[in-house]
Amino acid sequence: MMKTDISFLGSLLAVASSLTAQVYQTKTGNISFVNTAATGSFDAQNNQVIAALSTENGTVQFRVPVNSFQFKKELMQQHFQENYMESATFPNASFSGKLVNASGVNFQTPGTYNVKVKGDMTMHGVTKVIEVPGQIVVSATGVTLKANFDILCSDYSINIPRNNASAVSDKVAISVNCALTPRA
Amino acid sequence: MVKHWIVGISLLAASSLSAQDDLLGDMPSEPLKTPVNFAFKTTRVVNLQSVETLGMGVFDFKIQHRFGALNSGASNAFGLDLATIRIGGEYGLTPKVTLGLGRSPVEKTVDGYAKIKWVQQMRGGGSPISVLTVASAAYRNQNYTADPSTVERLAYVGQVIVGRKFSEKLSVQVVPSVVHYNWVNVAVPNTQFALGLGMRRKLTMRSSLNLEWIPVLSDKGTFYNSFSIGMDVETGGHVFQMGFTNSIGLSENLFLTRNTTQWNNAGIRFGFNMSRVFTLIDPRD
Repeated sequence: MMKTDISFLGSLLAVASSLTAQVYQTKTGNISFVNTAATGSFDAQNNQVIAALSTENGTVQFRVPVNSFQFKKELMQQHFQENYMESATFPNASFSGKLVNASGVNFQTPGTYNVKVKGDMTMHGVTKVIEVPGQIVVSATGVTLKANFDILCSDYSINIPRNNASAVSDKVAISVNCALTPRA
Repeated sequence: MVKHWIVGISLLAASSLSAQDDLLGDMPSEPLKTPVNFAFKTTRVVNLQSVETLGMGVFDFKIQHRFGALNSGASNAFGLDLATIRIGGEYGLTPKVTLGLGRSPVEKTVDGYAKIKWVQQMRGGGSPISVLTVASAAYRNQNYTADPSTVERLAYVGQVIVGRKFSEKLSVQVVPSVVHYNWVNVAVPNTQFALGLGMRRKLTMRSSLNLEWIPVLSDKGTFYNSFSIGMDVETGGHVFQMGFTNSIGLSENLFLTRNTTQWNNAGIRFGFNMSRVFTLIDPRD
């Protein structure tokens, strides 16, 4: 009798923990970037970003299909995929990390919270630990993740040939804007 | 009893672990079906149309240049003294429809074509091949002693392009073609059939080796099959294609079935295509 009670309690606890651990997600998040070099700048947009956040432990994860970045010029998109990102070999870029100060965010109270996120950024087959500032906007319908930060192509073994250096800069300004809704 | 505690705790641990480690586990790893793009660097293999079409609102200014034949002798600097140039342009009406127009000096030909992509090769389900059609018409503006009529001066070509990008490095295409001249001034049938074969092998990220062979399947008179070997080199907004071919004509009606020189006795010529693309409409608008 006692045995049954304990195992029942155990599974009850497990269920309860999964109820409070709310996960928010999206498959249509937006990530864009701007590259500003000596002879001009160009940008690209991606509206097929997969992102998820767990309120339980502040885990934040992104998966970014590289071929979904849209450029103004088709030739740029071709160069981006074939010559820089090598997307046939590395189809996704990803980030897996945690909110550094998750306790500062109240997911029950609508508002804008400044946060820091730290974790593994994987791109072009190279993983690097990064820590970037961002914002979490809690609303009645969900949670929006926002961040603006710079990365260096050279950190991810993305080689810019010397004679393209005036058109393509090593530094890329990344902008994240992903509206997440509760997972069903 | 201890056992049950362990079960309970491990259940808890499992639930929090799964939430922590992989939130994206049950989400698709990439968009399920994506088009397989960029089988060739430009809309041409060497002479043949490739499976590529232009993006919507893209204008491709093309200059195709062929020198004289290597066997034209030292006095012609082995062909470098002679030049045949087609000046042309292509425009992407939609991502699947490209229209082209050009003029070249062989028989003073003005040629126009419509290229349509009917089937797009996809990854992750969908078609394993791309299928396109090319319909082209050429008007020969030369002064002939027979003085053909306007209609007689027209020639048409119909092509089906079946192509596949097998890997990042290798693309292959097969191009059954029919050529019809309303009027012929040489001893060949008005209608001829040819089978274009083209392939690309990427050498580096920015260069590739292209091969092209076009056996004529019907009576080809005294003409020779076209064979070309080329190399694509990409430099920013330009693609530079250079190579050797025994074809001098630069429109479909000419290079498919009207090749007067052959590889066997060095009747080949150095040539290049220069392609410069201009984006007139931002596809994201």
